[in-house]
Amino acid sequence: MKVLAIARNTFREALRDKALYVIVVFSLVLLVSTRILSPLALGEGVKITKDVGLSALSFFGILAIIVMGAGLVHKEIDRKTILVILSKPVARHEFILGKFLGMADALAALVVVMLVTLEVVLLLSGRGPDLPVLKAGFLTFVELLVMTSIAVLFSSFSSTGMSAVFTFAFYVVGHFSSDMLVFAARLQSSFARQVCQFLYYVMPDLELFNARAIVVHGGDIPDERMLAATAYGLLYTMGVLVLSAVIFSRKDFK
Amino acid sequence: MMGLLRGRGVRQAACLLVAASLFTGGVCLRRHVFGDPVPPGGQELMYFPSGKFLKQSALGHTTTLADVAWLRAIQYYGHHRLTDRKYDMVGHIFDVITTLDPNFIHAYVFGAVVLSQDAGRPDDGLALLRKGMRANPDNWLLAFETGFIYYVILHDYDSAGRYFALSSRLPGAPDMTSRFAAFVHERAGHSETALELWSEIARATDNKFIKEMAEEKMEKLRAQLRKERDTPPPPEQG
Repeated sequence: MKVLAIARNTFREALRDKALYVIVVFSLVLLVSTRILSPLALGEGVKITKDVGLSALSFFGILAIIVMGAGLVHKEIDRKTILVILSKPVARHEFILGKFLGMADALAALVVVMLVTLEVVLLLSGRGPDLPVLKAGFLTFVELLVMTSIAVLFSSFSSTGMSAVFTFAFYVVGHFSSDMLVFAARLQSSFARQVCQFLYYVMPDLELFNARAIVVHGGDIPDERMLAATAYGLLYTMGVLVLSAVIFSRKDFK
Repeated sequence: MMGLLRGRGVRQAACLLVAASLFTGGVCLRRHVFGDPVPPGGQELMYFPSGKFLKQSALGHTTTLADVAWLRAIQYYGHHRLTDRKYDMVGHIFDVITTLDPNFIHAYVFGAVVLSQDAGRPDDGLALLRKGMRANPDNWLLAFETGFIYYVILHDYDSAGRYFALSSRLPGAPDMTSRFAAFVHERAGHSETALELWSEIARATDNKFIKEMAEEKMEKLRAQLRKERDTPPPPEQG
């Protein structure tokens, strides 16, 4: 119950943040504008709509996490409101979990609004409803959950600005993690090779959640991939949240 | 109170007017000094980054970047089609698109037709289609287009027949692929088969440039066929 109360409050706070509305409006305008581009695309209008819609979902989702999620915990520490919350019978791990769930709710709302708009645009083009697009959107949401947990982790011990930078760095590296293994195989030093292999396993593999290349060409995402990527994303998220709770429980607010 | 509000409203309107004047002044200055951007012939895509570089820096948004490059390629082609008909950078831009999105079948097809037909570089067109077939070995359209270029442009009927036959065996291939394979093997009259091929291309495409190009070709082939029919056969000797 305490977790849900914190989550509700975080969700309300996110909705009050004008940045979220700016992100939603901007992404919707971008999505609808692909209809204008369609006649110029020589028959590839639907592909472009799907591409822009799904890319915008991922891009604006990560932007929302960086703008709002990076300061999720640190803002409470900065404003000293954390002392009021923790003086009540609220465990520190409950606070972390509540913050994460609240941000996840806000992202779910963003994803739902954008996916519904994308389906409406596709329907107007005579190519909807498109189930594989919804599946790709769901995988993007799982990716956003992973990134939110990382933002919460950094926010639990560093400033808002630094959390934003670290979260973005993880997003970038997360899309190169498979290259790291290729890079490791080419290295001479065994120590450097092991470091690269360690990073490959520790960093999130965000390309697992990227099924856009399949669905924009009318393909479907295999169920095994959906299940495996979702399970990986949830396990990774839970692992990072446990780590965040451990770090946060050791934090001294004096 | 009303006076204060009215005064504030006038001040805000004046500020907006000043902002609009400054903006207009800036735009006029830019146009006067730099002029409107006019793409210099053939140079505009010279600094377009390579597909491999873009793929690495796209952070998973490769297919969206391929769309941006596709729109750029259409602009480039449309501009040069109306002006100098020089297509120096067309191979580069279609290589970028297909590196970013290896399953973008229409990019291979359009790129190959433009390279072979308009740019006069059928070998580059065939190389692009081969790249497509390596990435999409089950796609019948790429094999069919390869046969089409061999037949219509290179007049290499053996290779054309081989690719039409390959296309007819691939999943989802329409009946016309085996029909063309049979035509080529029977060595039917070149102009009739070419006309059939172009009309099939015009019928199947959503791409207005390919449609226009096909209709232009069909018109020429029809005229050639009429001429062939009107010409009396040479008198038999002996």
